[in-house]
Amino acid sequence: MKDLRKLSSVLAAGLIGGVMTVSSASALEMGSSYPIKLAVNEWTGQHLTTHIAGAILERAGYSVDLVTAGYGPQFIAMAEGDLHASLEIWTSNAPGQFTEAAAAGKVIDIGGLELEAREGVLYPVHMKEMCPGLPSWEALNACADKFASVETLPNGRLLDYPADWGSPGKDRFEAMGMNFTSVPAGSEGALITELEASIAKKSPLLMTFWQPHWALAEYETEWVALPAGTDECYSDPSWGVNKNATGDCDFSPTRIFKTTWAGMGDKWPVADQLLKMYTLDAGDQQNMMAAVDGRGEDIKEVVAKYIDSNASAIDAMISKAKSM
Amino acid sequence: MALAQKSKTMIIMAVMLGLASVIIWPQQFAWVNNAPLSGATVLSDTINLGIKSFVASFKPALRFIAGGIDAGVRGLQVTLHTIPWLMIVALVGLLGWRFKSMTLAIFCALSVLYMAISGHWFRSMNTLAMVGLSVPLALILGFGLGVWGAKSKSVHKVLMPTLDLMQTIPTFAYLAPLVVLFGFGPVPGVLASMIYAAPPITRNVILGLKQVPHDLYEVANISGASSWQRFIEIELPHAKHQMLVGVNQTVLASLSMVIIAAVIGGFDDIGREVLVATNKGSARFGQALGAGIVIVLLAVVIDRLTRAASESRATSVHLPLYFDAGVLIAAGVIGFIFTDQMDGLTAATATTIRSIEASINQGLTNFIGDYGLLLDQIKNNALVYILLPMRIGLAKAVLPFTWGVSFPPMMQNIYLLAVVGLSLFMAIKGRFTLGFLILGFGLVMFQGFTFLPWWMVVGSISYIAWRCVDLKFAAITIAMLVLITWAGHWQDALYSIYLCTASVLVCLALGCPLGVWAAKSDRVSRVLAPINDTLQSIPLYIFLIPAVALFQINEFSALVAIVLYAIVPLIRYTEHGLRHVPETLLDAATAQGCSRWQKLIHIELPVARPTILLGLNQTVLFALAMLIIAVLVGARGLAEQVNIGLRDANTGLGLTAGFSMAFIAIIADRILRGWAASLGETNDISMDG
Repeated sequence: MKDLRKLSSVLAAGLIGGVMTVSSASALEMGSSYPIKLAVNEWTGQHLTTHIAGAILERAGYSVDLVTAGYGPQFIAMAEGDLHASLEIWTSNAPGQFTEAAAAGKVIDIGGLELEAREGVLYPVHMKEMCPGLPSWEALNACADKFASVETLPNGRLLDYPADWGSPGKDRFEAMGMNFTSVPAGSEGALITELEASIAKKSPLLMTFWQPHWALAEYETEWVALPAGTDECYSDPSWGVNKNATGDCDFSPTRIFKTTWAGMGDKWPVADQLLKMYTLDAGDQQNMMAAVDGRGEDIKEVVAKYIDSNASAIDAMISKAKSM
Repeated sequence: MALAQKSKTMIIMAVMLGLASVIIWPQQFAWVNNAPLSGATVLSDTINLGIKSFVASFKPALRFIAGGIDAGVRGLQVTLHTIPWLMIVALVGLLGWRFKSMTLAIFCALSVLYMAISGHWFRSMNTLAMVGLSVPLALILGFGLGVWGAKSKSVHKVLMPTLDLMQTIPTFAYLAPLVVLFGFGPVPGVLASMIYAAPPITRNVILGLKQVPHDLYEVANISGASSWQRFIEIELPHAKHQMLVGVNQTVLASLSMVIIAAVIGGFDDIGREVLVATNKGSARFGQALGAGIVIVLLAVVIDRLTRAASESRATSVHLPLYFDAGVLIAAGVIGFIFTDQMDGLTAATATTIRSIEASINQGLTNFIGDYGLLLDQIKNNALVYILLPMRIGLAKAVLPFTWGVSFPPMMQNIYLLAVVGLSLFMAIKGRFTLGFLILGFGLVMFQGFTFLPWWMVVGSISYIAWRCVDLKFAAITIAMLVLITWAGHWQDALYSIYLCTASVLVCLALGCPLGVWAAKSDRVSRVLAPINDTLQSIPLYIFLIPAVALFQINEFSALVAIVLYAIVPLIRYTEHGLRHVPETLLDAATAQGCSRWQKLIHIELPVARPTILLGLNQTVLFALAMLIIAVLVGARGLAEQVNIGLRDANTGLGLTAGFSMAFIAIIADRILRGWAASLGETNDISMDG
């Protein structure tokens, strides 16, 4: 199926190649030496997403600047046109600055990255010895005291996202009436450090986490099997264990999307098209993360390898964008 | 007289009983316990609106300024990247040699060499480029303000609190508006660091100008000098030394703030490297530490060089300057010709250093595995027996599954009776302060910091402000506390005060003994000095990783991170104070036959007490500053609000919480300094240069 798609895009590229002369306007635009600025945030997955997008734009003839930018503050810059795109925004923790800039029409959601993400509650596998019924959520609830810490006794401790990302784990568990008290983590680094310490000490841990993430490639963890996070669960209170609450189930699927400065389409129409078409596979991203973070390889080389092995599909995408 | 004394005792006892009853039966006294002003968002909403309209009207002008600064940073960046690193190593070495000694030269050259061979050169130079712009800006601004403040009394009055605010409002509170106003890139970081770094030079300029002896003015007047001539010919040269002390402090402050500002990004600097490595958890602690060490070296080299330059001691170097020029050119030529070989060399050494960092990570992981249970015990005991009672009170913290016993109402009554009884007894004996202290401490432990009634906090703090400073400052204190309440940050403020108090108490318990030990033993002092230097100049983020790795995310980790950073001044000032106790006093004590302990307890510590208090003052300010970073490992309160404000571009929220933190810092600072001054002559380290 995948090959078939590749074939068809190559054919399309051939056809388009025949009429390339038509798109001289975009060739002119390509000549612009003013660089497109892509935001590089704080985590490795996003670095890869952005480096690959940058490499694609460069292959199409653009000059690209990768600019480090905080996940929240970047939208102030994008609203002003100082930054032009940020390509991995998670709905689950989209910053308030995005909502504001998007409402003002200064920043645009240009579509999903199709990076298949999952959020949920997980534990390091050694917890199965302490609580043999895992991953079932009923079993988890029954041995909540095995997950307790002094601040949460007699309840178990659920390490949730940093407070400023929202508290999805707490919301799920409260709706389900679980015997857990949630504690917000301060940062992503703090979450990972807890995971690592828990594995080193064989100490209890239950935390809200997400995938793709390099730590899941490096450490053995398991998701708690919660009731499926369906639409009914989130709209109908009578659904699920708690008859009076919505959201008494697993996380609803997370969407990851790409954003650009509102003026992008006018200034660089082809680049805008390319970014709209750009998608990344979660498996690919996680493998590359393991290469960068696990094996310490240089991110530029890892990305170059990815671009080489997907060269024909990318070239097809570029010629398609130029023809639009 | 006796009657007056008696009625005073009666009044105080009545006040004590009143206090105790309101705290013991909060339900019955709900009307006094409710906060005077319910938190409103009016303030933060107004700020948000104000910023929006300001941006709308001044954006072009501000962007023009930003463009200039941006061009400056980028120009400097290109220059620093073009110069071969070997040449910069040589330059720094020569400066150290000319300014002071061969030892300093070697130290500086090796430090800069490490930046190159550890693979952090590119980002270090980016940081240096930002510092290179922010320092001159801070110096110009700070010098101008200083001269103006020294010349005009009314300006001085406004300037002093402004400087306090510039140094105590957490940078995170105004980073977001700076990005809005000046655009993205290195400029907001440069400006934030300019705001933070200007006050030291301003303070030192004012101090220097005020120290100009009066007769010099008269000489100037007699000889008919214009006021401009007088300023250039007499005042400036006279104040020069003090100003140079300020320059040194400004440069260091600027560097530390450039690192903090990396949180907004926009420039690929070494602070960002540390931040990203910190985000990857304990498995990357080595990398974060490695990059952090580069920052420490950068800070120490800058510190030593600017200090040596300001002391401008004549060195024994008699070689002409063209020797230096020759060395520099040689280093530059070698650097240019052998660029590829040099790059190969640094790549190889960087790989080696990466593997050392990896083994540090492994070491940390092994340590956690081996000592995990012990660490958990330490953490749990601290949380259960100290932190929880302080925060929520013994009544709520003593539970069968934490303390192993319950705290039934009967026992609670006995506890309260004991506290009230003991304090009344002290009052009868005439020891009012002790009585109030016992009452306060006993009730705080019973009720918990975060459940303290507002009037008690406002009342006792303003009372202390009155006793330690003056009535006017007590009024200001009340105004500031009311503002915090009005902005809706009262509960957060109580939490921040609680965590800060707990951290400072730990600092006292550990820092003072360490300081005493360092004062008594030169060897200990030599070991502690570089550790202190490192703790003070290392980027704050680094403290977080070991704190979380060892103790997970909770208040205890936050406390550990705060203590690591804030303990340093207390150690330093204690040592400094003890080492400056007059010899004659000690000799007299020895002649009286005092033992070493008696001397320490009865002579040295009391004499050094004002200086130690100054150290305590610094510790409190450092702890408040560190709260902002400690949010990342589990601290809450005001600092968390500032972080949320930065993240959500809610400038109003960030600024009101930031101002609240600054108010607390200013109140603590004034009270402690007032107390120190009332005890006698202080011996301030910073005044020594």
